[in-house]
Amino acid sequence: MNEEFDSLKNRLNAADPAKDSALISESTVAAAALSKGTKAPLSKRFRQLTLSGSLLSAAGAFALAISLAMPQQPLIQMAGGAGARPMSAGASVESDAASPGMKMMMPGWIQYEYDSSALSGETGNGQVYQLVLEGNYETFLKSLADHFGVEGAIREEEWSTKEYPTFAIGVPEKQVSITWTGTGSFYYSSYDPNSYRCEKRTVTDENGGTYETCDPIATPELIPSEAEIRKEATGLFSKFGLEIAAANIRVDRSEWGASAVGAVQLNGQDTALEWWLNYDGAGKLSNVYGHFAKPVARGDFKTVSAKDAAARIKDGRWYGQAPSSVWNQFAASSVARTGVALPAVEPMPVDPAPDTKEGDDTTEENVKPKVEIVTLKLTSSEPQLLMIYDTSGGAWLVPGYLLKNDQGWFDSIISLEDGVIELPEPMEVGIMPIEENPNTKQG
Amino acid sequence: MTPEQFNTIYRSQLGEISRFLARRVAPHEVEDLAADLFEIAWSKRVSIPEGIELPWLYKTARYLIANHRRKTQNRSRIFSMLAAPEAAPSAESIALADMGLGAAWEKLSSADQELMALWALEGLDAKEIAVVMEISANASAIRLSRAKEKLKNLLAEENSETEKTLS
Repeated sequence: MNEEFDSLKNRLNAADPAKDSALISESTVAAAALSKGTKAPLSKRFRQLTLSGSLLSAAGAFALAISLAMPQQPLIQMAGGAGARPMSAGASVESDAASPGMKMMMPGWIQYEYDSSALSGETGNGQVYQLVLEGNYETFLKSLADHFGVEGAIREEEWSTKEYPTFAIGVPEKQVSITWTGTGSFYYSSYDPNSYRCEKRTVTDENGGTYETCDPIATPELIPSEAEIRKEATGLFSKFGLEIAAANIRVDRSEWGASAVGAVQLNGQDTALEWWLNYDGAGKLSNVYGHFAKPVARGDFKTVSAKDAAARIKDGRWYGQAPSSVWNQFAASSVARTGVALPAVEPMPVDPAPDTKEGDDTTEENVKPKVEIVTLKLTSSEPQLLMIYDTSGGAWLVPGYLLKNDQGWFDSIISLEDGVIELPEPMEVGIMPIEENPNTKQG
Repeated sequence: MTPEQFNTIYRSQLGEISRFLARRVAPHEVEDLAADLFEIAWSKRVSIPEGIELPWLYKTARYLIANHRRKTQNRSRIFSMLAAPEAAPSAESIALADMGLGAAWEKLSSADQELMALWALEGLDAKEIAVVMEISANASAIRLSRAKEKLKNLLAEENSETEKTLS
C-alpha cells in the first residue's frame, strides 16, 4: 500500500511549484504581533503594486473619460484585479485555478489577438443592479440554524475579517455560516461519514502507523429522484428568498450523490447569483448555498457595441462573472479540447536574438520568452448580465456581452460605457524568465 | 502569550507557510497574504490549540486565499459557485514540471487537489488534514484514500492516451 502511493507522492513532490520559492521575511511574524490592525486591505495594497515588463496595453488607452451623459462620479469602483487574464483560449487560461498568479502559470506566452469584424457595431443600454443586504445577519443565521436543526451560539469564524465578516453556528460536522458582505452568502454543511455504506480495511501510512478506512459503496437507491430533488430545492430556495420555477432548476444525479442549481433571474436571464444544494452518497442533504442580498435597480446606462467590447478583452479588467449555465454550454467542448489545449503551458524555448552582440546576452530583451501570437475570430455576441465586486466587497450585476470565438470558448465582457465603473489601476504583469535548472546545466 | 513567545512559535512555521502560499498564489502575493495570516494568528492566539498551530495556519490560509481570489477575479469561473474555500495549487503550476501530472491534476476536484497537496506537498497525515479541511479524521482518511486512487487512475489514463498518441 505504501509503495503503491510512494511513487505518486514522489512525482508530486518533483512537480512542487514551491520548490524554489523564497522564504517570507522573518519580520512578518514579529510585525503581526505588533500590528494594531490598521493595515490597508489587501486588495488596495495590490492595486498599488506594479511590476516591470508590460504585457498589457498601455494604461493611458484605458483611462476613463467621464462624458457629460455619465454621472460626475463613477457608480461603481471595481475591485482590483491582480492581473489580466483573458478567458478566451485553451485550458491554460480557462482553469479555475489560473488565478491571480499569472506569472507562476505561464512559463511561455501566447498573446491573443481578436478579430471582431463579424460583431455588431450597434450601441445600446442596460440596467445596473446593486446587490443589497438588508436586515441583520444574526436573524438570518438563526433562521437557517432553526431550519436545519443546528444548535449552538453564533460565533465569528477565525478567518473572518472586516472585509469578509463571517459568522457560524454549529460544529464542523454540521453547521450554518453566513458572510455578511457582497451577496450575503450562506452555507449549510452536514457531513456524516458513518452514513455511507462502506467496506472496512486497514491502511498503513507512510510513517508505518495504521488506521481503519472504509471504502464507500454506491447506494443509488438512497439518492432522491429528480422530481424529489426539484421539489426540495424549490421549497428550500423559496423559504430563504429565491423564488424559482422547478423547471428552471438544473439537477445532476448520479449513483454517488446529486445536486441542484438555481440561478436568480433578471429580465428572464440567468445571473451568476446562484443557489445550490447537494445530496451525499447516502441521499442526505449535505450542503446548501444561497444568498440573502437582493438585486436593486440603480439605473439604465448606455452600453458600448459588441465590437467595442471586444477591444476590452485584452485589457483584462473588464471581465464579469457569467452564470454557470453559460459555462455548461461551453464546458463539454472545453473538456474535449483539454488534450490539445494543455500544451499551451509548455515552456517555450528562448531563442537568442539573431543580432546579439557578445556580452549583451543579459539584457532584459534577450531573456524574455518568445511570444506566440494567436488570432481568435469572434463569431457572435449575446447580451448577458455579469456579476462584479466593488472595492468595498459589494456585488453588482451589470450589462455585458458573451463574446464567442472560433475556439469554442467565450469571454464575458462588461459593456457599460466608460465612466460608470472606475476600473482598478492596470496591473503590469511581467514575464518571468525561465531559468535553467542548475542541476541540469551542462559543462 | 507575549509577542516574543508568539514570534518564537510562529517563526518556526515560516518555511512551511512560505511554501504553502507559494504553491497557491502568485509570488508577489505571498508576503502580503502571510502578513494577513499572522495578524489573524496573533489576534486569535489565545484560541489556537497548542501543537496544531501549523494545521490551523493552513486552514485559515485557505480561507484567506479563497477570499482573495474571489475579490480579485471579476470574471467568469465555473467553480465560483462553491462556497467552500478553494486554495489548492493549480494544474498549470503542477504542469510546469510535469505535463502528464498537470493534466491528471486538472481532472481532480478542488477538494481532492487540496487533499493531495496537503498529503504530498505539505506532508500532513490524515489527522492533520482533518484539521485543515475541517472534517473528521475518519472522513479525512477515507477522502484521502479515494483521492490517491483517483489521481493514480487518472495518471494511468493519461499515460495510456499519450501512448496512443505516440503509436
